[in-house]
Amino acid sequence: MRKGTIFKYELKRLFCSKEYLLLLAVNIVYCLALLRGSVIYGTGFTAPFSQWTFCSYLSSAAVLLFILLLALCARQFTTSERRAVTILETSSVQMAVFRAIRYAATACAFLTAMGLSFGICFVFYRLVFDYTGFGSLIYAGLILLLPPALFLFGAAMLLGHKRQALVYILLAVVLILGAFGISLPDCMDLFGTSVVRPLYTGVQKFTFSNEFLAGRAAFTIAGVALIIFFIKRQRTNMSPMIFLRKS
Amino acid sequence: MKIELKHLSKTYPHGKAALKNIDLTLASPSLIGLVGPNGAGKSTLMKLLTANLLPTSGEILKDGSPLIKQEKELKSGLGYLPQEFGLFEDLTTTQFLDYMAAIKCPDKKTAKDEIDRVIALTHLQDKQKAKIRTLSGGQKQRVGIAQSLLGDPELLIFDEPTVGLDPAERFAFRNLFAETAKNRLVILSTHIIEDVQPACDHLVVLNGGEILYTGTPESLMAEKHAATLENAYMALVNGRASA
Ligand SMILES: Nc1ncnc2c1ncn2[C@@H]1O[C@H](COP(=O)(O)OP(=O)(O)OP(=O)(O)O)[C@@H](O)[C@H]1O
Ligand SMILES: [Mg+2]
Repeated sequence: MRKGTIFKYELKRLFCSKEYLLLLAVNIVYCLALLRGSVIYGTGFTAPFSQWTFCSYLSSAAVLLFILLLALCARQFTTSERRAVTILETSSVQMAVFRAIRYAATACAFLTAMGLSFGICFVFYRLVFDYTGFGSLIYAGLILLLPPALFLFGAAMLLGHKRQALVYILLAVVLILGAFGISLPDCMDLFGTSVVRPLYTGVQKFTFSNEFLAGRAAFTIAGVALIIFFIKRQRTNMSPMIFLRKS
Repeated sequence: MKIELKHLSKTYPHGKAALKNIDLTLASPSLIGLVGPNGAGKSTLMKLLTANLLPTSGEILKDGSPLIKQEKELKSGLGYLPQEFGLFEDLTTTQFLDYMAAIKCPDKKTAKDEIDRVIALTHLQDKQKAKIRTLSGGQKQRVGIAQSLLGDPELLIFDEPTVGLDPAERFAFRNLFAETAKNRLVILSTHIIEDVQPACDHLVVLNGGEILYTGTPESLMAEKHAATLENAYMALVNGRASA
């Protein structure tokens, strides 16, 4: 099996898909609007390039980023994709490796969109404020976005294996939570909107609350566990019966 | 290669028995035609042969040892076209075949040669650069056949490969299958009896999950005193002694 070739095609299929390019364009436009409309004024009287402001910016951008991620996940479960995978299952391909390649391609497409959201903001900071201390911003941004992205990816795999429509229902739930700004407890805060709350109670030094960090850890563990489960599950598409028969 | 089915049964969960106590031996080289009415169990049998499904009882032996223990060997020498298959519609014909060849061929050079070979065999030269989404039903069917021929597998299983093909293409594919089966085991299921007679050296008729007939098409015609295979088949399925 030539993994590089398969990875190349999986990337091509994602990066050249109309829905990805469209969502990416919408995401970029939205990020630019956020920079001009809110980031430039800073959050809660902090600098526009403070961690508070950057996290506030990312939690607004997160809604579209997660929708993009779920749309990419849903693509894997269309009828024609499923049927094409049936052919692969009867070939000598190791399904676990194949799945891992596919997931990696999806991750690349998502990380590109996420990287662009970071990048646009950094270019803005550099041009407008000549600010370049991006290290602490990147750190805060990754904690804010990566755990829920892992969780949503895992959840999408779980639901998609049952029915493609369930991934779209998850997407709708994310959209509704984001669009109406429905606030969840810190530990379940998908978009990280709760991060800036301490700022309005007089806290000046940027930190994540313990409850928020615990939630991020839980998202990561659940997401990684689901992803590994689905990568491995595919290794034996005939499981669990095969184990029963072999034993 | 020799494949033996022993007391093979398959009942789907919450379903009825799709195959009932099948005993059958298939050996290469041979072109085996699997026919039977809708719901007879043809696709189920093919899925069992490709290890896509597990039997409820009974077993399948490949060259004397259980198929389940040689799943990897089986799959590395298998070309399969399911009845309902999907293609990556956003790729072109060549790109899709290159994707599949990345699985079936060890290196780029072999893959390139194989892709050229199967494209020529399935007459897709003028559709090489076309997106699969833009192909007609019959052309997609030919891409499906092309992918199963990649890597020159020793066992080929086609579930209704000639559906949607025009008469000229059907004729060409009949010849292709017959030619391929000269040194391989090729199993094809079909509803088109005319596809079987000129090409297949062996006929298996399934009905209601049971084997009604196995033998050459000619001996079935002789047995049913029929002038055509179609008449003989109808007599068999309807339980008449002669056509
Ligand atoms: N996934 C499934 N779950 C439950 N029952 C099934 C399933 N797939 C097939 N069956 C049943 O098993 C029987 C055999 O089906 P199969 O698809 O093997 O028939 P077939 O001979 O290929 O028919 P056709 O000529 O229409 O393709 C049918 O009665 C069908 O209803
Ligand atoms: Mg069928």
